[in-house]
Amino acid sequence: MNEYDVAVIGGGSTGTAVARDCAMRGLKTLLLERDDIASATVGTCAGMISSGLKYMEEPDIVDMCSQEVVHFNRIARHIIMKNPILTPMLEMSDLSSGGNFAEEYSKRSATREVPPVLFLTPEDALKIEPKLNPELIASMYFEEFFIDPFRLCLLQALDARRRGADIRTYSEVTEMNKSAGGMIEVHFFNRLTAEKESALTRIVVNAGGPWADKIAALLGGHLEIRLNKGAHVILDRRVVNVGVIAKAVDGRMIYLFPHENTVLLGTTALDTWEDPDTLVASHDEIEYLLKSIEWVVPSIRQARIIRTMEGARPLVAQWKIPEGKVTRGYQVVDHSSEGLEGLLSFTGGKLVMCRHMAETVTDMVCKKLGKDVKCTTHIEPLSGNEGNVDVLALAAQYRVSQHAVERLRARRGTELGKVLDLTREHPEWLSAICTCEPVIEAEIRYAIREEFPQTLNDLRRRVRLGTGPCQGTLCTFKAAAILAEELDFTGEQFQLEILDYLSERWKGKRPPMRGEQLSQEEVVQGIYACVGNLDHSELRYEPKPWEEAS
Amino acid sequence: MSDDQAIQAVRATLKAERIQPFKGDELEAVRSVESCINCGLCIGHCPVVRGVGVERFSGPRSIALELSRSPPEFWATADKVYLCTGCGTCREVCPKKVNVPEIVNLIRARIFQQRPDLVPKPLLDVRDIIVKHSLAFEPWEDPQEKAESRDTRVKALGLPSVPDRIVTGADVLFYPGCQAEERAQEVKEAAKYILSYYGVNYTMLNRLTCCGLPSKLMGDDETARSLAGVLHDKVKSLAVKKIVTTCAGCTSNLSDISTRDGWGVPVYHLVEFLAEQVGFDKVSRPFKGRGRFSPPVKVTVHDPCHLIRHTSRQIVEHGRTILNFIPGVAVEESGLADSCCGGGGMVGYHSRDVADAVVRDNIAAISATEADTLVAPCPLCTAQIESNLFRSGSTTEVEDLSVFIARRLPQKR
Amino acid sequence: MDIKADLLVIGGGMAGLVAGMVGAEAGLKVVVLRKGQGATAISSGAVDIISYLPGADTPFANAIEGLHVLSEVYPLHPYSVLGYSDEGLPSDAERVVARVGESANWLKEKLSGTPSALVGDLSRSIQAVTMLGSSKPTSLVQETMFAEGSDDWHDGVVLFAGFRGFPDFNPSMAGKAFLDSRLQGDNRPRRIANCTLEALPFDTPYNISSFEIARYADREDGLLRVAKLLREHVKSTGADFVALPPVLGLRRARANKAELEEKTGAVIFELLAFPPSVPGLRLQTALESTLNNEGGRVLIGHEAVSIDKREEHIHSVKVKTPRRTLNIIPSAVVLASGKFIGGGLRGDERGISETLMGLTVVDVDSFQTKGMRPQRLTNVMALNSEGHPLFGLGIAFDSRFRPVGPDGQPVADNMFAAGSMLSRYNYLTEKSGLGVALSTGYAAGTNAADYVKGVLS
Repeated sequence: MNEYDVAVIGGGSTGTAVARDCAMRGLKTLLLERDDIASATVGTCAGMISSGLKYMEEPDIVDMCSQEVVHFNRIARHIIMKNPILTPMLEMSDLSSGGNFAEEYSKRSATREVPPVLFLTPEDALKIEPKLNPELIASMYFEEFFIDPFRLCLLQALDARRRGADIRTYSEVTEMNKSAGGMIEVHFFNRLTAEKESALTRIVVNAGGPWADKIAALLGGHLEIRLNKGAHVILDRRVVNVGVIAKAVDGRMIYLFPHENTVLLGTTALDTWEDPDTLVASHDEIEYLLKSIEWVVPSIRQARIIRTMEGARPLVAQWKIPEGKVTRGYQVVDHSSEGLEGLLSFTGGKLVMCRHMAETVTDMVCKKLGKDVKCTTHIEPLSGNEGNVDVLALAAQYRVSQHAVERLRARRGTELGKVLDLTREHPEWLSAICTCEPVIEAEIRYAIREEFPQTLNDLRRRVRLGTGPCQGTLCTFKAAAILAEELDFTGEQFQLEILDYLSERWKGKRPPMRGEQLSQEEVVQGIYACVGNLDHSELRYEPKPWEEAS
Repeated sequence: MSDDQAIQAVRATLKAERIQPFKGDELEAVRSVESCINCGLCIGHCPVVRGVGVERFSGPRSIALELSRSPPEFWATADKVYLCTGCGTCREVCPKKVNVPEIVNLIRARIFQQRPDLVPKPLLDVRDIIVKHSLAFEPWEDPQEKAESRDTRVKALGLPSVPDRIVTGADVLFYPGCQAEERAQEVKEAAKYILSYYGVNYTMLNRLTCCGLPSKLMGDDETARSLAGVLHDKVKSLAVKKIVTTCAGCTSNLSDISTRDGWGVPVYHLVEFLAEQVGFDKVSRPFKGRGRFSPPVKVTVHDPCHLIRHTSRQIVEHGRTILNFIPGVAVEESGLADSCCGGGGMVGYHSRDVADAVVRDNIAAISATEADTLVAPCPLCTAQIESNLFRSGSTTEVEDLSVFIARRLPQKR
Repeated sequence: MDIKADLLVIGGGMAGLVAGMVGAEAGLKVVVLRKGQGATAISSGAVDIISYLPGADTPFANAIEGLHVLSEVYPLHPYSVLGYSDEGLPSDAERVVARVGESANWLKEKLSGTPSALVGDLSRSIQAVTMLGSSKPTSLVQETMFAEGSDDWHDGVVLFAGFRGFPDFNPSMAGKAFLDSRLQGDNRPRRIANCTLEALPFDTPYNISSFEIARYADREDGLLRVAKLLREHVKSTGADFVALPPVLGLRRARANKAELEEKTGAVIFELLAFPPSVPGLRLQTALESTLNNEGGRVLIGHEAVSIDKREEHIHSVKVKTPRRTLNIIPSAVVLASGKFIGGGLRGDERGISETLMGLTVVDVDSFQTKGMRPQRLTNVMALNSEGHPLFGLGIAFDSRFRPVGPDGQPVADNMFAAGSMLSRYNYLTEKSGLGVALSTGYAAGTNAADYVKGVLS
């Protein structure tokens, strides 16, 4: 059994940040993720690294968020995007709710190098975003930063690995028990080899998100979370040029944010006790979001909805108050208070705080282990951030389309050189596999070799395969063949991989099914059912949790 | 930050993020692109893809599905987006009628505005001419020389000379377009003759100004709209009820701007006008029983994209009907009459090899007919095919359809 | 300028073009409106008749068995309707088989001599192999897709040949999947092999599309190179069969296959295609040119925008092109505008509707779908033998293939419908798409012609 200083359970934004911080401070670190990096909560968020918009009631949190944005811009500039945001108001009553926010935001805007909140006339607002309801009476303007959550988590994990951490995906923790000498035995099931494995560690950091309570319970720890589900509707292409925030059907605030080459409409917030693996967006949530944004962007229903996503937030367990009033800060629970030494659990938190959460907990871990090392995660850049990329020059040099290089740059920054280098020996890998992004074969092979995806769905998180309007119609079978080659699949595994990814895409495509997606789905079924006959195969397909739940 | 500094910061962000909203009249084309289902049919039909391969020109599918999704990234499409000839074959076969040619123009417009350094230089040279002269071709400096050149050509073709007609109170405006005005003057003369022959009460412009299509095709939206405005004023002051033109590009573009800017004046290609407004009966009457050219002539036809795919295929059907009225004329189809000539989209100005690759199969099919003459109702197609036919060693002559008809109109008694 | 026609067909896919050809054969003046190309042009190029009962795991032994079962178990299926007598139900299975067989033979005869000439018949199921190495039972395939001896592979060697820089087809994975699927069955080749051919139409070994390879194969020098490369691989692997992605050519596909077989000594066949589909385009092109040769007119780029119906009779149809409009005045109309891809049907959260006239849309059991949102017509499983009820939707029709209203009466006496816009079948699970399009197009075209001639019973 391998021995570690710290075992981190959970490979989301928090878990990967903790693994990175621990590894950077010289601790022998193990990360155990049940599925794939960023496959749960953080994989279903809008990617905003918020300056503290929602937390104006908690000024300390606003300070922290604002500072974290500055840190992110330093260490991960290449995967950060900026969106101007408008808040079109149709009634006087919408104005009053803005006051405090504007003040709190503007106090700290200079640190983030953005302008303070501005109040725009309707004419100016419509000039920036003509799709707004022309009857708006005023709008605020401010700027927020966004990050690709998949790339962030992966880069944190890769950085941890580079510094000596063991990163294990598809490893589900099944049992934990105290062992001799104050160590903890962590038993986990390797889902790839179907074998049980174990590790010894001094500290366990429980970053299990929606499953944190169950994980704590494995060691007999008590942890309560308030699980809350939320949906996003994803629209194809940038149908709006800037972010739009508006008052929803029930008075909450919802948003429409451009995200790379799509637009995200979100989000809902409902208490849930469902198994998070079975969550799927409901018709109610979709209509709630559309109706809410329709007041300020009247033409929204003409946009093409390509899919939905649904995630579960592990909120701090504050009850008998509306979910909107629950703190968005985080809590670290040291279970030594209940006699359990060596177990630290998280509840709550937001994407923007993940580095801060990691710093707090790693400080605690170091203290417990008697190590006096300072945190430097806010200083050391993540891979790919080293400098500027000359897209046009690289496109000419490697004979690849400029847009393909630009998309590579948006995902990988300076790291894209390594991808393009592969094409020297294999010029065939310059072929575009996903036509919507685009994604060239070289990037797929590079990601498979360096970034440990096991399935097409994992690959999707690495390279945005199948995230465009066609939702993997053609790239699924092509990428499946590449994955099958690289990972030496059997013929059956190759075809099962196709079925698995189609079902994963269908999970999000099905709830909002309408308009052009009906034609798109006819093409998908035409290819895989009518021609491919995969609906009549004798493959041993395993139904997914959400398929079984229905 | 002061208020002013804040506004400056906002402007800087909008510029840095390359935020440039679409105009209202652009939204329909933008929405059409959302319907693409990635079926790939367009790739099989695109003449540029056929000519140079998907690697060089990723094709209409990539324009719809990839290159047009994120306006802030439009600058990174400059290596592909200028290779589209705008023929519209993709849209014609698309199950969803995705308007790729129009999207190409919109993307080029944003590159033009935000990154003029990425616009192919020859297009900027054309822009200079347009801005200076309101014409797409460098005009003749000496009107005398221009007239002499015209007269020589007209005489060689045996076309009667018809004086320029600029009158008030006319129903119809004859608009020859920049090419017929400054380069292929015989086309203008032929049209004048045909209109007079059939008794049409037409006028011409005092000074021709470009309809704006080349500006639109290079992304110079501002100039295109300004030219449209200038022409609108002229049309208004002339108070004509119809516009007739001999250029295919002008036909589709004028139809467009006339609708967009509410001119209330329909636009016809000359062939269309003859079929629908003059009528086949009247048009065919002079040819009955009489033939001006006794040796039979074998003719093959080219159908300009701006007519068949941007206006209506009926127009070239009318053209064939009229050709069949003319005694001694036998029409043999090349089989690729509707295949793009490669002259469109301003591609030839900066990527001649691509434009010529597009028309290669066409040239082979035309040569195979061994026709005496190829006729096309568009001076741009005519020029592009003529130079390529010549280089291929073919002896087939090329003539604008208007000229062909005019030369064969029997003398009036 | 308006156009008068005896028969106006709205939709230029298999159903519409077949209806048009039947009308032209009957001496009518036929006009077909083809707004764009549709499902036919992106199909695999095979013509499925009927392979599976919905929800069934095992396929029918052949199409005849399938048609028999359908007419008994699904008497409302478009195929079953072909078996009605003048009084309607019940469906006579023999009559169904006869009529479907007649249209299939008719089509084979029409397409013989074109690059998409068909082989096969209703009495025998062809186990076609797809680009993924999976198998799909079908009835008619293009000649270039047929492998003599593929019933049992004669204990031979099958070589899967891909093209360098053509990522659509991965010969090694297809071969593996093909062999794995044979482990259960008994028609197993002795061995499979794979290779990659370096045939570069534009000298770049990447981003090559299926159409480029097909055009390359149509060139003399292109085919020579492919033959040379293939022969080496056939020799070194001892291959008896060569499975190629469907790129054997657009114009000269059949000649190319023959030449490759001659030069390599192996049986060459194309796998079933995914989009961008060369065989699909071959089929579409062959159908269009056949109609043109018979005197019909295909109006390309013309879209029907509205229908003027007066007293249960279609009077005229308004048609638009990119910047013009015109009217067509028909004696009879066949609607064959497709399903969602073709645009005959469309839907949003308020329900599914027929695009042109708002005809009544019903589900596969003939119930109206008013207001039902599409998601509710889907299965939680993305892909399984049950399929999605959504694709069984279509317009309601009577035994003459006339669209009917909620009262069951024909919407117009001179309007008929065919193809995937019809309800009461699900081509994706049954594998019956082009077969239904063909036989209903044939029937609707015949009925429309009879109507025009005044002899419709």
